[in-house]
Amino acid sequence: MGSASDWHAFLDEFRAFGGKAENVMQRKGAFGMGLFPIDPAKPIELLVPDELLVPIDNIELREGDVVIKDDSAFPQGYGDWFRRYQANYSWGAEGRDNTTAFEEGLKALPNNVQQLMKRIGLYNAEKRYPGENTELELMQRFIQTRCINRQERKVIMPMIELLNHSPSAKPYDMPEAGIAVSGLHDGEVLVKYSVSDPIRRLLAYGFNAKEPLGFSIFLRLQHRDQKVVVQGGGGRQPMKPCGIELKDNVVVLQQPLLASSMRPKMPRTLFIQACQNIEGIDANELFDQIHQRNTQALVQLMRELDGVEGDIAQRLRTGCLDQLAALSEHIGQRDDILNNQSAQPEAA
Amino acid sequence: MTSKDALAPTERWEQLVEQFVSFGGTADNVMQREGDFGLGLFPIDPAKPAELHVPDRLLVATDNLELRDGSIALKDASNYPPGFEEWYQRFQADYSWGAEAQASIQSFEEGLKSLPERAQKLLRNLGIANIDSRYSEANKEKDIFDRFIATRRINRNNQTWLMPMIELVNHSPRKPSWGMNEHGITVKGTFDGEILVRYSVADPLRRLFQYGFNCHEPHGFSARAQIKHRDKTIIIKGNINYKPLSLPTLQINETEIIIDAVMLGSMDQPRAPRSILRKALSKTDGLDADELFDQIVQRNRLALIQLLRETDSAEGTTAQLVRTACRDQLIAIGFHIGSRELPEEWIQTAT
Repeated sequence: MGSASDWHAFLDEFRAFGGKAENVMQRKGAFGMGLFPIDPAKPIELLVPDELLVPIDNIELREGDVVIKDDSAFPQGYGDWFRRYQANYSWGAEGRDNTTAFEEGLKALPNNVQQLMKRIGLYNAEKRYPGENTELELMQRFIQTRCINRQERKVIMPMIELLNHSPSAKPYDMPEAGIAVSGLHDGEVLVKYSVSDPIRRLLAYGFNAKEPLGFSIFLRLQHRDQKVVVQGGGGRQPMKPCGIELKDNVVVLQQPLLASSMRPKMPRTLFIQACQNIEGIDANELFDQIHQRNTQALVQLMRELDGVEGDIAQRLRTGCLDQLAALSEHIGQRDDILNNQSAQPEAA
Repeated sequence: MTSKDALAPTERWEQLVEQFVSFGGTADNVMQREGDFGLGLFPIDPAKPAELHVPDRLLVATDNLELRDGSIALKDASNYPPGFEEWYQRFQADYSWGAEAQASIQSFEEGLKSLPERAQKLLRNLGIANIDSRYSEANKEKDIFDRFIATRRINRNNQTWLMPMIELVNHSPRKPSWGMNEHGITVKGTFDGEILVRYSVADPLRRLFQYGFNCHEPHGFSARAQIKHRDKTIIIKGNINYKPLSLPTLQINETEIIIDAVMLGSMDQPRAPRSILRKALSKTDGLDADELFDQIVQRNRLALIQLLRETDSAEGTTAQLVRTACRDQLIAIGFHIGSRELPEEWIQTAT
């Protein structure tokens, strides 16, 4: 990381390519390196136009630097700017070191912890960080924490990727021209990266956050006479019923929402809606079963982590507690929605 | 009274049993030794039945006990057979209070006192334990004695009693309780391993704070809580319902509903907890029992999670016991799945 004058010179270059970066500076904050307003009384503005977004399949490691493979489609000089940007402010600033520490820490967890996390679909070291090409794997992990879906492509947003996450912040603005963040900020400029829950936020990004939603882990269970598979995870539009299908006589549920602190009556409501066309399911009972199994798995994970030392084990313990707290946020159901729906003709 | 050192352990135990039998008690095929739960009773020959019986006349009223020079003694032995007073004092000194109970209670209580202040406050607010009052600096020995009595006493004929010999049996939630009839109290059967009985209905958190050990209890009850539900204030007193499948007692006034005990989880009857609260509140207007049930579960979960956070970095055996109990309690209150029609025999008000 360079001096303030280096930073401003760097921003001038970014602006020359068509980007916007007004009233922001990079410094260390509560969440590590982040962006802050230079003058909190004035709005900040960040904009990465579409033509400066870098598809992740056009990124590679070259002599330890994160670079654009083929920069012919970008403005002249942008490839060189991007390399220096990554080296000084992103991958090279603390991105690589943080990613390494987290992945190595996860890999060093006791075998029983890893086995359990694999079983419930949270973490699989063999797939995520096999250690065959460490540098490349670390870069891929790093890229996963920084990319966003834009027009069916995963892209890196220079400058905006330096922002840290807060579950209560606004998401990125996605106007036609590109990706933007703007407005007045008292302290650090924060955005909501995506829809997730505490345990997945931790495992995807390496930090603990008290997310307002809770999704299920992967699990199989017996519900009355019916075998049920629950595909865990979040990241989808949470306030819609989860996907459900009958596949080879097994009911498969896709990422059911189990809790929401902002709308605690919705998880059960959405679950009942999702299950209504599948015979042999008592939606209320199945919802409780899935909750019970999630709690048991998280408690078991905490038991396995007992006495395990180190920062990553501590983050994982905190992640389990945050997840248990997040999963507690479901209260009753919205009868108005359920009654209204059942009154509608089936074809509607 | 035989000196503790004069006889070998087996002979001392045999002599204790022999004298107990001479007073009218029964202790067949049992010996004391260290097991998974500390000192406990085991069958000498597991292929044969073991039996313990304490007739009513050998039960010891808890208000007839005192600490005398650090030993537990009978205040008044006039109603007992000759020799029983000395026998009982030796029994307590060598096999119960003096064997490990006093030391383990003291260690547990000292450990509770060293929990972080915020954890202690939370436990107090939840009605789980008032650590200051149960173990005061002013009178530690007396407080340990009182805790000891509380872990061993039973209720019988409107009086609390200790059961010589039977009090040495450890607890398992999956075993039958003591047999009680008009003659006394009995534990009887064939036991593969340690002789165990179910002391009482409890949940993991209460079991720890009452008895000092962790146990995967099959029930989970709500802690004390005050909840705003629609336009009403719901007060959960946070007691245990000792008849868990019966309806809790309610006090209802215009703006407030007080519920004595709310079962949130039952491993054997997971459809019962929600149904019981639903039934208990079925005649009360302005409530959504299902929603309230979820609110109570939520409040309990968040409190347990907070307790885990507050004790996260606390060191020592007791802090670890508390963390384990919180996790076990999260599991126990999670045993609620769907609902069911309640059989008529369950629909009775708890006494």
